[in-house]
Amino acid sequence: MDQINIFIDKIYNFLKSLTLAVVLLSLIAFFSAIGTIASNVKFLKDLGLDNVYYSKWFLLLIVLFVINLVLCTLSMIPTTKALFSPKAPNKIFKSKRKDTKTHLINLLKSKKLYIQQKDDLIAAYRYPVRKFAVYGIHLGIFIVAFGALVGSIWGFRGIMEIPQNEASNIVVTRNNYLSLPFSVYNKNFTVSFYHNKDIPSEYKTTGYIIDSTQKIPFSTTVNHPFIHKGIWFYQASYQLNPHDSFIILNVNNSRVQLYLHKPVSIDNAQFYLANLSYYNSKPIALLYVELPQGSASGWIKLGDSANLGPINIVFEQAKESYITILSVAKDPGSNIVIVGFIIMIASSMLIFLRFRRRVYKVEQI
Amino acid sequence: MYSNILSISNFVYIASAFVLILSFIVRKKSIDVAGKSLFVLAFFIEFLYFTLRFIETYQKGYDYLPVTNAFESFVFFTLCLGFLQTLMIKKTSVFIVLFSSIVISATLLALSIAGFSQHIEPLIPALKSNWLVAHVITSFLAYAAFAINFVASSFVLYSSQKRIDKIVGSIMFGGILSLMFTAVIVSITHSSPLVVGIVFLVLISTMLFVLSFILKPYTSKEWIEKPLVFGFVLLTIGIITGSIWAKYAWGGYWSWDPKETWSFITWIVYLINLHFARKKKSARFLAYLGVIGFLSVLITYLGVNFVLPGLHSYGSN
Repeated sequence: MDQINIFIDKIYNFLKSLTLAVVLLSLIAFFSAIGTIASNVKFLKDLGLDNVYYSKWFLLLIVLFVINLVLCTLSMIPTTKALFSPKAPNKIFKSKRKDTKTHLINLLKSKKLYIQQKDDLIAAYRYPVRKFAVYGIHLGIFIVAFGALVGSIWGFRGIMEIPQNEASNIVVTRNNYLSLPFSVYNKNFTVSFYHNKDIPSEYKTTGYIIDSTQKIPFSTTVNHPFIHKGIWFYQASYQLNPHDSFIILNVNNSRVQLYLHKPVSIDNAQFYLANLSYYNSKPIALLYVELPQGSASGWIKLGDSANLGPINIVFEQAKESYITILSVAKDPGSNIVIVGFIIMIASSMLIFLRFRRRVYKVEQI
Repeated sequence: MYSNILSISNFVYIASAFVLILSFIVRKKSIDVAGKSLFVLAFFIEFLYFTLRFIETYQKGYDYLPVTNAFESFVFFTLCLGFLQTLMIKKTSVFIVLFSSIVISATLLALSIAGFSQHIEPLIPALKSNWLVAHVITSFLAYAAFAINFVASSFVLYSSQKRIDKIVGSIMFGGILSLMFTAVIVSITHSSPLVVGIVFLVLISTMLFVLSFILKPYTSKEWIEKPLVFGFVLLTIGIITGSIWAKYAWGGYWSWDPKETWSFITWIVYLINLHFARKKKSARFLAYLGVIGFLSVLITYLGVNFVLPGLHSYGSN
């Protein structure tokens, strides 16, 4: 029986030790670091280390660390308790007054110290709350880890791709897909540019949610998600819709409609539209033209014309249609994580306070 | 127009370094004060530059703090380091102020030859968030605090009696100094920064190593621990504000993007350092952790922006 107890004690002491914490944290840090380079190194990638963050044993390391954190925190309680239940004085307070004790207490109180009395001992603490900072930070980390776990079990994260004037309810997650109980209709996606610059200022999707018979309008831009039934939608990215984006070229006075990525041949000439974009808020097209005499390629601005030997082309019209790419996330642990964050920040601020403790023994002369 | 002000500030930082070196040799209180005053002056000149740039950014109609591209972020890093150092200028040992000013001027000199665009450009959509200010200021103050921790750590190693410590310390200081000299030489001769850098690193480190034998061991933990605690708290807040921002921009608190991952690794290194400091480990031990920690900061700050692609890559433009 004793041996079992000793054994359990040993395991407990190991589990709560700083050594284990350091080992676990070092392992977590090491594998995290490997994970950031693994996608560029073949044999690491073959081991699946580029996705190490989602593996079972990485989770196990974190769970072990959290257990270690909890046990370690609990094992500190007796020390803190002892700190606030003074047994021996570290200072003698001598005075000739009769009411020495109340005098000392008033004196300490005027210094805004926290005071404890026990028999003939008077303990005074400056910023006693400082000693709880470590509990707060550890609790915060625990809550964040718990919130993350809740989110990873009951939540999801993925991507939705919705062409303009279409609706979708399919969310593609990291290794699967799921369908939402409602669909999202992309009425319009727009890219805005800064005045006279080719730097985008805003990506915006407007549309509505089709939930049974209801139509709920929304609009979302980067950094401004919208929420429906606990599911968050973010403007993440966009791409041109090749089936619906085209330009109209005037080739030797006849109009040609040229779709993205779809070559068209007219009179020995082959046209290919490789890309559509904006420059100084004006549409530009990346055009490849192949003629029997040779080939030409380059960006052409709306309204510009080009002479390619036997043919003359004018870029007359552009129509871009975009597929909006939304990030979709449901995270039931989100608020738990926020609580953890707040506790962590608040308690870590306490570290800057300077704790002091004096235990007086009162002596009358 | 006012970009000259940055050069003037850099010049004053360099001047303060020279005066501080002098005070290191002569050990006179008045020279100490002069060197430190120059440092503070340089900081205020740099702050003036930053304020003017901030105003110009607003006048152009882009409402943001100028900390969003590579050039601005390096300047902001040196500004944060100058700020922290100025806050505690009275109590700090001369060598820490000296190396702070060397780190700052080395960074600014290297920046002047790196060829990053200094234009004020509007923000891309992902950066347009109120969390930007809180996230960047806390993270950069943390980096600055860790830089001070690094300088103190390197000095502990440099002045240690063990040969291996001296070598590590010499290489660390040699690295900072050779960055500075390389920047100067490359800007004049336009030769390859890598070759010049390695030559300087070897030369300066060797010279420093020889010089190190005249020093008495420095084993105070004060300038290791103070910036460590401050930096750790700010890094924690920086990561938290960043992850709340990520929640609004990318759809989740954490995506294991390389920058996130490396800031997490940095956080772990300093977390371990902090706990060992509480356990009263030797200055030498903490110094090694300080060096490792700062290398991790450099990977987070530079390596991820310029080498590993990810969600934070806009920092490399």
